[in-house]
Amino acid sequence: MLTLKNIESEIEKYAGKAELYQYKFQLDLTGSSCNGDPHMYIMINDQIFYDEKFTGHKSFIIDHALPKDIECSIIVGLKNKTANNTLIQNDRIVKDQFVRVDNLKINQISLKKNNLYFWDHSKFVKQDSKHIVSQTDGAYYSGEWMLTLPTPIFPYLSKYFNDKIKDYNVDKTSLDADKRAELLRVVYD
Amino acid sequence: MTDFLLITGPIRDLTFPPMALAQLKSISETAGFSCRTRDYNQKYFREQCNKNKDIFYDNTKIFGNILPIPYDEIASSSCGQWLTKQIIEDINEYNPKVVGVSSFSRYNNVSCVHLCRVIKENFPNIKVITGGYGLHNPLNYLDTFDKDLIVEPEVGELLKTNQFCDTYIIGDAEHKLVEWLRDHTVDYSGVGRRVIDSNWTETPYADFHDLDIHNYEYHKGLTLPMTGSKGCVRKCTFCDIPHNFGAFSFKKGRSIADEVIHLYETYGAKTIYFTDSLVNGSLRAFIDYVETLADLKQKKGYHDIKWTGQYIVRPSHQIPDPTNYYALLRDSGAEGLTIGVESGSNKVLADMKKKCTVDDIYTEINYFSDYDISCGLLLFPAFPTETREDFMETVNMMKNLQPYWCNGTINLVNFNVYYGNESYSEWGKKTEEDGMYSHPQDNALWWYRHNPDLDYKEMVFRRLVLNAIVKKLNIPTYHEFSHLTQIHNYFTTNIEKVKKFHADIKKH
Repeated sequence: MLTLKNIESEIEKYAGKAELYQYKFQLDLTGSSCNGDPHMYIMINDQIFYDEKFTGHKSFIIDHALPKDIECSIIVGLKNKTANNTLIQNDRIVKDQFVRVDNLKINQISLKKNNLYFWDHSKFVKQDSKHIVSQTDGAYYSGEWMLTLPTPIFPYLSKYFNDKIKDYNVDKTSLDADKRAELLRVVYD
Repeated sequence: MTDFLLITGPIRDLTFPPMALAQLKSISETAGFSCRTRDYNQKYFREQCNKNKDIFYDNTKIFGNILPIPYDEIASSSCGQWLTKQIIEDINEYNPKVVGVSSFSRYNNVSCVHLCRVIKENFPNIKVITGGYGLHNPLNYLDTFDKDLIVEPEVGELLKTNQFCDTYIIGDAEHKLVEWLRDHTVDYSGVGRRVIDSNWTETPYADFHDLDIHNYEYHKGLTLPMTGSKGCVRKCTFCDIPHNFGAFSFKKGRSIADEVIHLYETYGAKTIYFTDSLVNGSLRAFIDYVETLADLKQKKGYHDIKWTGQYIVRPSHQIPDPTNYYALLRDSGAEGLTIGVESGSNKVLADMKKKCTVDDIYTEINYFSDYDISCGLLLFPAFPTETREDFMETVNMMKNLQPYWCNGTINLVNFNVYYGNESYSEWGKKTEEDGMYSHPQDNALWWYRHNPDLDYKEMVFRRLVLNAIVKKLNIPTYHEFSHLTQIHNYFTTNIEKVKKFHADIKKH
């Protein structure tokens, strides 16, 4: 039964059921070989989901639940790359070993297609020097390419999209506190 | 002297000019009657509110007929006085034989009553005709508004009976208006009467020249309305469109595309807003339209033409060649298509006779996402058969759809207040024998015996849950505050009536 005493907690309880914690990550990667296939791994935060050598185009899918109010780091790592894995002629790279992120989808929407966070906030950390390269789309050295998002992911992306990309003015969405209290009182008291 | 002065007042949308004024001007002038049009809604916004929407809505809210306010108070308000002054000035300037007052929706009715009253009081010899779908609604709070008025169930009839107008037309006035301008003895008025005229498609292009088209609150460039079809191919049980418009009728796809190009070339319209109840009612005509427009845009280099309107989700198997269909839709400039999703429950969708499923909705939106077509969704909670469990399926739909407002596919989700019986809808005709108990003067107040838990407390609860979800998920929305304000105003004003209504049902 809805009463003045429980109405706010009931609203919160039922609205909370719209929150999404289960995500499907799809990483479309290109592996380029040079004196050997790249050895890459994919992690989300501290958990490794793939660790393998591959070449060509391949999609990697990860179903993963993430609690709210944490940071989610999607990491594509490249390991054991040496100078032998880059072929240079006349100061130009003619062949190289790397892993490129062609697309990153979360629950079917692409973060790359609409510049949803991808270029602005991805970074690469070199394994040896810890040097950070920003605005990159893959691992071209030994080290980790990563993209970090707060959870829950979609409310954050929605705000980011509307504020930064679409410049959409969301209308005022709440009654003033005194009016809301008055409404609840007349209906539920 | 002018033959015909055609006006409209608050409260109307500010985002584009009124179609009725521009269309009826061109029809009247083609028939040989000189005509001037004035949109007082927009003029008041621009001249008296400095184009500040907060001031505009605050000053005009007393015209919305959602609160019990005496007519004298409305007439003596700043907006009421301004309207009086405007109509008297315009009549003195144009010296019309006839004045037409358009009422687009129920929110337009109080200003319509006011303008008609002022004209008849000050210029008793001028003929007044009113029209528009707003007029089929009742005027609420009549006891407070003006207890001396002769009561009628619809505003149109109330205006006529109280001699504030000579006649009115609800429905397809395109040709009937001209008949009446020629011969004032013809009469198309009557409670529940709708003029259905299948020849409405044979009309000249709307004429926007009188209107201040550069001063509307456009979202994306100059936006002009046009009509490609009337009526609907569905008969959703909550909707009164089948009653108001009759059978679905439409212009040819090629002709619609040509009119779009005309509005672009003549007025510089960047976006065309279709007033149709649905743009894709005839799939064949619709595909012809998008094909032709995509082709014309390409050939003429008019790449910035966009169009928008209301769109229905069809069962996914009905789309003949999805790859080609959605590519054409995108290339023709489709943007921000409004989809009446209504509910996330298949059971409720079936009760509404929506003729589509939740999966069809997901499929359509996924195609939109793939082809970069944006859309807005309309939903409302508390349909009479909606249980708490059904409602939670709508909550679940919001959970599933949230990626799509992160990439701009869904650019708007509007939750209406909640269900109110439209008088001429299938549900509006249900009686106590069917289990539907409705307040005779208040279509927002009802209770359905076969879903007894859905009382006013539960309705408000569901709406507030959706409001909490809007904030929690950062859903792009537009009318949330005004809808919540309506709910607040309604219950703080009417709670005794609401409680009495429910108590009386319990006595049964």
